[in-house]
Amino acid sequence: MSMSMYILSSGEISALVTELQASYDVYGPQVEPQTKQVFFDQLATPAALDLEAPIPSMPVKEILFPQMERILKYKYDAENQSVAMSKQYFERPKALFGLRPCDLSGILVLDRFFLGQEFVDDVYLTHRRQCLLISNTCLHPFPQCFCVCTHSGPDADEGFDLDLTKLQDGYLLRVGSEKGQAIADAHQWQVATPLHAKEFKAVVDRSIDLFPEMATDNKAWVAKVMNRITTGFVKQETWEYIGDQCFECGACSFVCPTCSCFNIEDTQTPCGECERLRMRDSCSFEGYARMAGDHNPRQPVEDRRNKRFFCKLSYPQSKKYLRPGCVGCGRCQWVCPGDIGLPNVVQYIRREITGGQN
Amino acid sequence: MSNCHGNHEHGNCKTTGLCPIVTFPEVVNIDEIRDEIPEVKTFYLSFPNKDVEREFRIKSGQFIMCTVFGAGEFAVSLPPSPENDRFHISVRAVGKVTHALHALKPGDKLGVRGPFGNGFPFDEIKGKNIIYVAGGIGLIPLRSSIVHALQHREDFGRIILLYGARSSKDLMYQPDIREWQQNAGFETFITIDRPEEGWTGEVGYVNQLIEKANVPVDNSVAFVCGPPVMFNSVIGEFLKRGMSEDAIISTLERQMKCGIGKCQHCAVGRTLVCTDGPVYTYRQIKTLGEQI
Amino acid sequence: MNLVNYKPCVCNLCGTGCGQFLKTDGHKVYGVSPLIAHPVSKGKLCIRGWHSNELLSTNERITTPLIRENGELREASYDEAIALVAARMQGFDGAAGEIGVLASARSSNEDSFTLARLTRDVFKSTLRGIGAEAGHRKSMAALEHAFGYPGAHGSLTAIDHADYILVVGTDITRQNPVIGGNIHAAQRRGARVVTLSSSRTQIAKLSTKHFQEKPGTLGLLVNALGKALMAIRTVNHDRRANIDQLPGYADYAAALRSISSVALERASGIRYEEIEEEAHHLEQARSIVILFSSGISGLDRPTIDAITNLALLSDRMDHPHSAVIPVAGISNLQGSFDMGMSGELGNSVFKALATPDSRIRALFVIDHDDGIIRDKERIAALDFVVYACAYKSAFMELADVVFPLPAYNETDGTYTASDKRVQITHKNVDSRHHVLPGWSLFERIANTSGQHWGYHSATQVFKDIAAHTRGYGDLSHELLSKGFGQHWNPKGFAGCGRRKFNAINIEYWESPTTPEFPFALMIGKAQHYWHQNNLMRKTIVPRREYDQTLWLYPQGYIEISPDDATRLKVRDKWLVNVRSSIGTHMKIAVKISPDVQDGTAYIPYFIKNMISDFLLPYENAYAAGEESVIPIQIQE
Repeated sequence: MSMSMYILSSGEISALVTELQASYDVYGPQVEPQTKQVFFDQLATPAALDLEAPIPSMPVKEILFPQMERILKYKYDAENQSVAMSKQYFERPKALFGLRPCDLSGILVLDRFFLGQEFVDDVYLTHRRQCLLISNTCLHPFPQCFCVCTHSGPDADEGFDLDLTKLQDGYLLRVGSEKGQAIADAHQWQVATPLHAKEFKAVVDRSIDLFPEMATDNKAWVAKVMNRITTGFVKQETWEYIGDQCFECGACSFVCPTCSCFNIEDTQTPCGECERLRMRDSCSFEGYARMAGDHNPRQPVEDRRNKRFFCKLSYPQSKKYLRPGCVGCGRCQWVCPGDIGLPNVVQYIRREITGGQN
Repeated sequence: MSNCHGNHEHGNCKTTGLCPIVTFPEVVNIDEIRDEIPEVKTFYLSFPNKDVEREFRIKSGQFIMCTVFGAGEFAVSLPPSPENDRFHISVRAVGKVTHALHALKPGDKLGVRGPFGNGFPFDEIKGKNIIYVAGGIGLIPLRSSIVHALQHREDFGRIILLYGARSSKDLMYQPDIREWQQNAGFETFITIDRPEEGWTGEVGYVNQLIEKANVPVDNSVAFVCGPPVMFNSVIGEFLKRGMSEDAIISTLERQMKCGIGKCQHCAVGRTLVCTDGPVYTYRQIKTLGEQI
Repeated sequence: MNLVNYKPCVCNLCGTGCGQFLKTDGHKVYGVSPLIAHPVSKGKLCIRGWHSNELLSTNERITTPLIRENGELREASYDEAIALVAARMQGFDGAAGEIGVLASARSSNEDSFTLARLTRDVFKSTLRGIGAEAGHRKSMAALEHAFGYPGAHGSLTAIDHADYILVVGTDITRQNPVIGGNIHAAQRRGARVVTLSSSRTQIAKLSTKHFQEKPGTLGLLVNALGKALMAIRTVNHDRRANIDQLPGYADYAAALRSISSVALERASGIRYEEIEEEAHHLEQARSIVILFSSGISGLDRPTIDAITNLALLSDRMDHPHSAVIPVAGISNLQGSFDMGMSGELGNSVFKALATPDSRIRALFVIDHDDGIIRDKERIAALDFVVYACAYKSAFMELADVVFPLPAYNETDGTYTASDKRVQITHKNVDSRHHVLPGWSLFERIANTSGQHWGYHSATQVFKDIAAHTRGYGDLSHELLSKGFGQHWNPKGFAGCGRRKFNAINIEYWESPTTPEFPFALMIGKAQHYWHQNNLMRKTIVPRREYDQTLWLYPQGYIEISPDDATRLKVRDKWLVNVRSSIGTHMKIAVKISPDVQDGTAYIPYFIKNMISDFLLPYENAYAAGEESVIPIQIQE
């Protein structure tokens, strides 16, 4: 399908949000007034949408794979030996308006993992079905962004229904799917010119130029580090150095757009019912890999760290995701009480390869 | 099956055209409960929904996720043969959920998802000798394959069971074993750790039975299940005798939560026990890069 | 415009006071996000903070008032339960010591303040106390003597700028992980981080320098550092008139001079030369932060005195990036002290309960949900026990009347963190069962007893707090709602600015170990364990992490060094017989840890519950906190 492109004014963007709100729950980036922290949350009004806000503090996966959700409710009647069960997750059309390309890549990874393997995860599928994905090009990197190293930004190249880029004349809207085209066809938007396409390319190039040297410099190293991690040639001392700095808080997994581990637990409610909860989990926790009986195959913390970075940066894992497991958003670096966000781990392994020479 | 969410590439789908119960547990009735050995009970189950029952097909070596309503869900291997056997599970009370299961009565209901996992190879081993080696409750995951093999006795060479437990009270499935022994050429060697009054059988560890049984190494496969110490000594013995690492087959146990390769709790090295396993050859296990 | 689903608040799960967002629809809490702009936590949370949604959505809540009738608790209305409490309490003579009140270090300032008022004005009682107060009282007394007011000197944010950070004793990455993370970040930016700790804790590993002293000699080590610092100044003819003239200096200096380097090394295992070298770094630092743990696992008074003295001696305490902070494990330990809920020395509710012939007959308790209830038989035998808490706990069994309380996000309230930062959390979820906030419950009890306070909101209570609490005068809910809280002002204390050295004695602590009982057993550090775990047990993932340890060591464990294990011929997870010098014994599994030094043994705090018979005769020694040592023998 050849890609249609249009130019929209800010007013037309707002009108589109309003229009989508009629048939979707519309989510978008907005700034919390007291703390100035950015969240990708449900929009109370179109005016709350801030397409220029920095990348959201929590990944957009929160909407499709929440920290905690109820998936099943049941009540067991011990006297009559019978059970009544009901499903607790429901389909609602959602429009994710203004996704940063890293978060979009994260969703694509989760799609491939939850929907593309041997089994389909019904809970994720239910949240994901009827989603409209509208991405938003980053005109400049935000602190600790390194998506240029992981092929997930600053512009989106696949997976969106519609994609926005702020240009001089307004927002360039690129169509990425039939669903997106159907929306475009229902409007009288001004068709973009080749000049707009040229400007788009210039805007992306300028954004790439604005990445700090460390990020661009790391680009080649990400591939080398992936090679090392895949082949298991990273020294034990390096993992121990990383493990000593792990506070076992789980934050890196919770803010990672592609971490998908979860836990399931049945809990009783006061009225005698039971809820099956599904909550996000982290491989950094000691109890995560515990088996039945008194045996834990993965005890030292450095072993568990090793597991996580294998998941983010190795070829076998990339084969599952059709891309690296890391999307370069840098959030793990913000939230880590140690100093072992992914970019730093790349640095540590790089230092090991070069023998301390940078 | 109604709540199928497989991508239809799963073994079950290919061979039977059916998908396992993936997300929403299906209710089963506890028809009968038998005490096996201390702390272990066998629960005979049936599906009130007869459509589901008809379509519920298993392979030896697979497992199900079983919900004890009010307590939680746990993974349990399937002891029944895929053919002409009663649907049942044998469970040791070890944690909160399994203790709650042990407190149930006939007529109580459970939830079942599955069957999951790859299962033991069956067609590939036709014509070979099979050596089953089990320690304690390690016989539970092997039962299905033993019964199935005996149902097709003519397809195999020697079938040998080497079984050990701490004491005679800890031997699983004793009536079953007596029944299996009625089959021509089913060789059983049973041992307990320490001498006991009235015990006339073998005394010692399972690995010592390998010598006793004069197990064939060529054209043989060994299925080994038991605690890690027993597992390692038995493997050592087989390798010493020149058995190929590919011919030694076992099942791994890990904490499983979803059963469909999503939650990642059962990740071992680079594989997931719930979808890539639980059945592995020793060669595979060796390369997983974690303790067993 | 406020967000639909994310509400800012202050984490209530330790004394750090981290900022967090709760993801909530106003009815239930679904998730947590860190708060990046928070000056202390800066977008970080620990495992507890990240899972507060699990605690806040637990079903193990007390949802309605309960009254005991024929031995069973039954549901009751507020009117009935309050009338019963008011009537029964009037039957006791509070002034004569018949009513005790046990407050919670987790309660908001508003709740603690009104509880103090209820105790004083309605119950006429002086028998008060706060759970975990003993250790904190020592910190407060030492700090008040040194700096003129009972509270931390300086701010936790000083860690981010200070040249030199001294961590005394505490396993801070476990107990207050976000502070631990800030210290680690300071080390990376070039600050000198020095840890004094008898075991190789995570912060010890992340420090620039770790002094691994023999148990019981922390205070001696701090004093030795003082001696070396003083010696450098003498050599340099660097006279600090402002320090030399402080009250207590002469005695302090004389005591420091008396330290013998030989005796120091014998007692602590640390060579004086090492200390001298360290003192040079200390001397060169322009700003110094000293952190120690306060509260239930806190230090003894002589060690805290040594710390405050070293701080004064450093002559750097006026630098904006210097601080001395007693780090609390519980969210509002400092605030409950400020609100006057700690017992008077020698007249606390704990003492009344522990003294067999005391006159106590009734007890009013908030949140006391420890795994072990001290003096349980005595409490069970009291005439009347009232208990209020958000979560179900074993204490309910002892109560005649039970009241529910809101969780920390279900009501407006302020909390004072370890560094005196007062922060507000606004109600962001409807309390599920129309539960009265603590201050409102206490006011209604007062009302029914004939006193009319006239509080209609937490904001109004806080106005009274500001009017009547030293240091809080400048604060209001309105002010606290802007930004991220404010430290209370020490200038509210008349003594503020008058600095004094604490009196110290140099003692070369003799290890109580003997050839027969050669191991020094200590009780401390534990992961995922907090508040004797009653709150963490109501979560899912942190609970699993706690249980994980017990899966591996179902009978609990004792940590010993690899060399000692070799000498004892034991391996990891083997059961050993442990016998104490006064004859108690237990069987427990060995955990071999390279972080423990030879001749010492650790039992993590929570395992105390499992071996209480072994420890019971040591209850007093145990009160000495982090530094208490029990001589034991270990046999295969």
